[in-house]
Parts: sequence; structure tokens; C-alpha cells
Amino acid sequence: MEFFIQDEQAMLELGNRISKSLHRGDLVLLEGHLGAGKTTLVRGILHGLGWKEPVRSPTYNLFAPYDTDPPVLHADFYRISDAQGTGIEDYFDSHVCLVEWPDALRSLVDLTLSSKVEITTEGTGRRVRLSNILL
Amino acid sequence: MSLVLAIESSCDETSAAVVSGRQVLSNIVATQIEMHQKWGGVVPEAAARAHVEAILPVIQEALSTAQVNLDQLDAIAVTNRPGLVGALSVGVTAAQALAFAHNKPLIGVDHLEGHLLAILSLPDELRFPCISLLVSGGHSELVLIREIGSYELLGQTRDDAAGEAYDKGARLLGLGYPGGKQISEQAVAGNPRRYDLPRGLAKERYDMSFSGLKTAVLRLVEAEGPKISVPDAAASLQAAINDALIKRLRNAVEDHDPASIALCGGVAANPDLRARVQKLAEQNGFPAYIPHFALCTDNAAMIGLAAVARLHGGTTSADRNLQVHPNSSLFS
Repeated sequence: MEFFIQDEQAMLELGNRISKSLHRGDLVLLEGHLGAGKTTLVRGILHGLGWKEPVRSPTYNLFAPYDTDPPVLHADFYRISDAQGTGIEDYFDSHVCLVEWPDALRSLVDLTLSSKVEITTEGTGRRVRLSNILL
Repeated sequence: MSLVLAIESSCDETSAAVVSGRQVLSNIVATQIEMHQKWGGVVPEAAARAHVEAILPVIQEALSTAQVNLDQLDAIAVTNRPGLVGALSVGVTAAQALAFAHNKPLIGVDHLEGHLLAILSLPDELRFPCISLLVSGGHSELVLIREIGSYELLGQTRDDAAGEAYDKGARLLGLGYPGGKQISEQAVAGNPRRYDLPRGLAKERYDMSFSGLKTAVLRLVEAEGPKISVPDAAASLQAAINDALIKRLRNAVEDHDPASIALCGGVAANPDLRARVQKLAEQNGFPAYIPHFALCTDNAAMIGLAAVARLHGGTTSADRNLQVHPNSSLFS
């Protein structure tokens, strides 16, 4: 499924729609370059699950868990080339795991089977492609 | 004078230091930046292993540089919160073993309190309340220090940290790591008004936002193509980040009438930000406390200084069963 996203508000709304289809144990890979809007989409998803507080970048801490329903783990492997040893596996069953820069997960899971969101720039807007996500 | 050995391993750096009262006798840091550059990213198991390999030599060097032996110490201090769990555990385990073996009190210190209290290394008689701006790769916090041990979080970033904005901005401009240093060096020859970059959350008095800068710099790079002036872009990015920080600091000064201001965390290395904090203090007729750069990046001396303050305050226990708290907050 593909969407053209005009602006930040539309990206938040798409996140809100995606949030309704997520369950514990889901792993969603978020792909796109710096500034593409990955964290904005995560913010939309968390807002959709009722989270009202800020959603800070997990780049330096790697993980940010949220006690929403279902609970969400926002992970970011920008600084990391291999996720082995981070302990992310502990969240796989209990949380919806939203992972930015997911290449580092290759040694842990078969990424070809995972749900995926790919964001690319198109002018001032964004093209968002969803795989293995049913809205 | 309390003599303390301090250990810090909450993130990328392995560090040990000896402090005597407010005097830093040694401050040794084994950095992993070279390793990260080579691999283009941290490998956590390798990072934890690097902490394990570095920690004993770093402690040895801290003691020998200070010409202190373990039996002379009054206490051992270690960062036990917040941070990466594996990294924190290495320092805490080493500190615990030394404390048991040499029968010394063990003091767990919050990493952020360490950053805030790095100002104790300055010779000044510190005046409180103090408004401190803590800015690093993982933090952008505006803190009211009423006195040592009493901290109120006034505001913070709602998305990216200021240091992260420097690093990612540098990456988008094709500059190397660490990004903050690259940007400030390029900015010296640049025009900060050449490119118009956003000041996020301009209406907020204390809270900040830097994530919009990534998209703005990306758009700038795409629009200008090869004719972009990297020095002008670096200067414009630096102005956008530092304007936002100084504005929040000024707001806090207006609202809280402090006796001093302070700048700490790795972004305190930025010469433009240092100069602007100094200027703000001069305009208000109070001092600006900016620790030496070695005490602004992650280091163990700041942990030792915070521990000494705790010892003097009498709020320490002899409990050596220190827990690691990866997600704890100084302000809750």
C-alpha cells in the first residue's frame, strides 16, 4: 500500500491509522533517511494509542518504552551496526516494536518477513510504502 | 578533605578519576570514538567488552596519576543511573568489587547530577540558585539548581537533543564525526544569516524542539546542490541551535532571578555557545560557570565531585549492594 503525504499533519494522521492495526508482538521496521519523518510517524502512532507526552528521539539511549495499550518500544539503531547484545529481544513478545535504522537487526530476525514502512522524499512531500501492514 | 575514586561507564566512555574535595587529582577517559568511526556505529557487545577491557587500566591510571592508593580513599563512587544497562553494569561491578575488597563506602551517582555538579571543579565560591543548561548528544535540559541536591527541571527538548542536532546536521552536510566539532570549525568562516533555518517551538518559554532542523537542512542540501556553502550552512545551523538554547536560558533568568548560570554537557565545547552564555551573565551582573571541557563531556571526575558533595551532606549509606537503574530520572 502506498500513500503520498503532504505535510507533518498528514504523517501524524497516517501514524494514527496504523496504530489501530498494531498488536503486541508486532515488529515494524521504519526505513528512510535522516529527516524523512520516521519519528514523526512514530509520534502519530503513539498519539493514536493515547500517548499525550512528548516522543523524544531514542538515538542516544537506543530504546524508549511506552506503557500504552498495547505497549510500544520505540528503538533507534542509528548509532549501531549490530543489535546483538542490546536486549531488544526482551521486548519482542510483550511490545509493539517500532524500529528505526533496522539493518542492525539482521543478525537477530529475518527482516524479509517483517512489517515495513519505507519513507522517501518527493519534493516537499513524502512517499510512504507499507508492506505486511493491513489498515 | 574527602578523597574519592570515581568510575563512569554509562554510555560510550570508560572513565575513572580521583578527586580530593573539589580538586580533581586525575581524570582518565578511554574513548571509543575511534572504534565507532572505524565501524560506522557502536556494536553494543563490543562496546560492553571495550568497557570491560578498559576499566581496570583506567582505574590504575587514575590512581597512579593522582598518586593515591586504594586504602587512602574515603569512598568509591560510580554512575549507577541512567544509561545503557550493559555499560552501567561494568562500572558498578568494578566499583562494588573494590568497595568490598577495601572496605570502603560505595556511592551511586546519577549521571545527570554529575554533569550539573561539574561546576564544583571551578575555584569560585558557587552562588545559588543557579540556572544550568545541560546540553549533550542525549540531553537538552534547562535545570534550576536551588542548592546542591535540589534540582527542578524547567524545560527540555521534546524530540532531538541539541548535540544530536549538531551530529545529524553535520552528517547531512557531509561532514564527519563528531559533528559538533566539525560544525563549529566550519562555522568560523561562515555567514550565520545566509540560510534561514527554523527555531522550533519559538513560543515555548522553556521547552525546545530540534527535529525540524533535520528536514530543513535536508531540504537546503537538495535545493542548493553542489553550490551550497558548507561554512555558511554550518554557521546557520549553529545559529539556529544556539539561538534556541540561549533564548530558553534568558527566559529562565527572567523568571527565576538566579544568582548565577551554568553550561554543562558535551555541547558546552561549542565556542559560540560558551561566549553567548558568558555574555548573558555579564549583562545580568552574575557569574557564568562553565567547567573545563574535559569535565563537560562524559567523565568520572564529575561523578567524584557529586559524591564528595553527598559525603559532605551526610546523605550516604554503607550499603554496597548498588543496583543499576537504566531508566531512572533525576527529576522524578
